[in-house]
Amino acid sequence: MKRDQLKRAIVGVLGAATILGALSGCSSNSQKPAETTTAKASEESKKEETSSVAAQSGSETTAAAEPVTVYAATGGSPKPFTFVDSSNQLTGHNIELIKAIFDRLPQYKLEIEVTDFPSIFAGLDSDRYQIGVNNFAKNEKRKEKYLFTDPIFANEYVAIFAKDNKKAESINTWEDLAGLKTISQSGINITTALENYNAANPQKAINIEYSDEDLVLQIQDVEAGKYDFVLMDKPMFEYYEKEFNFNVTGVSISSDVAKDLMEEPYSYLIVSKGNEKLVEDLNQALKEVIEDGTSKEINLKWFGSDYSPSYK
Amino acid sequence: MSKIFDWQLVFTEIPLLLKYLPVTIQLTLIALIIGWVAGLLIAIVKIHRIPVLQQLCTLFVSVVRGTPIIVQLYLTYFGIPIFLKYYNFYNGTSYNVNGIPPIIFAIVALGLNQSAFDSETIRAAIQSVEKGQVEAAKSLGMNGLQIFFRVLLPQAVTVAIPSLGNSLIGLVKGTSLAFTCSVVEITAQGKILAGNSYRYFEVYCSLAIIYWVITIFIERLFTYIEKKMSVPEQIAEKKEA
Repeated sequence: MKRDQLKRAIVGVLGAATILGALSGCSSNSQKPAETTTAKASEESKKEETSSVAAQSGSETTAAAEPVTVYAATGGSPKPFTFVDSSNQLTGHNIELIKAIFDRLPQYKLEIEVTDFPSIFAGLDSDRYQIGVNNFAKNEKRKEKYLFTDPIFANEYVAIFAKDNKKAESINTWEDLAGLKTISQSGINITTALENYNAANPQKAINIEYSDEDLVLQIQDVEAGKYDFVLMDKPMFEYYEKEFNFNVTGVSISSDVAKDLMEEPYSYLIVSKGNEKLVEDLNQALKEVIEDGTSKEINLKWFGSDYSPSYK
Repeated sequence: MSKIFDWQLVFTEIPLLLKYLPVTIQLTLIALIIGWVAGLLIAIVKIHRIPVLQQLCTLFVSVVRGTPIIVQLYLTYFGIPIFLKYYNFYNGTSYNVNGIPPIIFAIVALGLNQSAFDSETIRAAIQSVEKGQVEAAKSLGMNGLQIFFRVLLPQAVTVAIPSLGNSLIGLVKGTSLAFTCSVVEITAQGKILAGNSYRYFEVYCSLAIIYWVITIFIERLFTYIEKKMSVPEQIAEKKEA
């Protein structure tokens, strides 16, 4: 029996050592001089042309010759901002705009990946993605975690009420919505706008209920009276209304008031921390895209009117 | 009130979703193999009470069974890059994970998850084999490996099959979360299609049908295997009971 126990102990220790050794395998490699890693890096970039922005930002001079790949992530929804069309192509206002921006930045190569919406944030945190493109709004907490480009889109919000709801008639400003019950998905720009408003007006707060419920169901809940209203981007509501023909009315929230209350009713591209140079380049190109009318063209194509932010 | 529910779409979308069925199957099969192999290893460690390894395995099984699979997918897909970021910073290296296809992360996470669940099934199955059988084999002069492969494993497999089938069904449905790692399988494709048509509910109905059919197929398959593999004695016992 004793021999058996000894044998087990030896197997156990050796096995554990193997596992730990395998786990820390990369650390022993790294102790080797830096030349091996750079060789590896160039090998990789040859193979797949994948090199992070961080890796090459140090060698700006060589970057001109070989474009740096930037990974952008989108949730592929909502249409018409970002979606995959029937021929399996990623498209939409945000997507065309970011492509137009990158057309003016030959030093970068853009790769857009479609992923689950919450994964965009997790991916930016881990620098797996450098850009999030999903009609993102800005708030204080996001500002701490991510870098923002200049605005890409000037939002207009509509509050959707059931057609027979009398309350809809008296809504002009955000304050008129105080005390009413709404439903919203966490993380999206509308929820951000609502939260920003609530933070600024704690006495006149709007009741937000959070849900991952699909927007169609949300609107149906409003129709059924479960919630008083649901807030949507105006251009999006127009698309939904066309598709489903809901029994609801959309009340535009006066954008002047919105501006006062929320300081910035815009959408942005968000960029992971540590890529300040990328943001600078993006802003430069974005300005050109807006000034030469490309942005207007894209807006007219998707929304029928121009929501480009104006720079003075 | 035009077409709140477009039932035709439920069926017309199924072929579009089935284009991505190979991805779902690939995820399932590879994760299944990882799960069985790693699960068997963990079970052996636990049965033989091998010190240190046993504690590590217990910790692993406890953590994996105690956390939702979606969290595990996040941890592998985004945790590893964060780890590398720190690692690169402190060691001056430039390892980059973007070169590794996302599906690898999904497969590894699903496979490890599966191994934790299967290890307990396999352990229980091996331990269900009577001690007398092992002693009989020993008295016939078989060595450890022979006993394991000729006596323990064949009997254990019969016991384990129903539970393994059950966890395979769980795995198939677990693959529907792979979109968190940017892997486009049928559920992800469903969400993408709905992003265009706004019709999420219809897509979820189509997906329900597809997953259900897959599950029925697996159930049948395992019933068949179970019949084929059952030890004659056990059938006799069942009949008596």
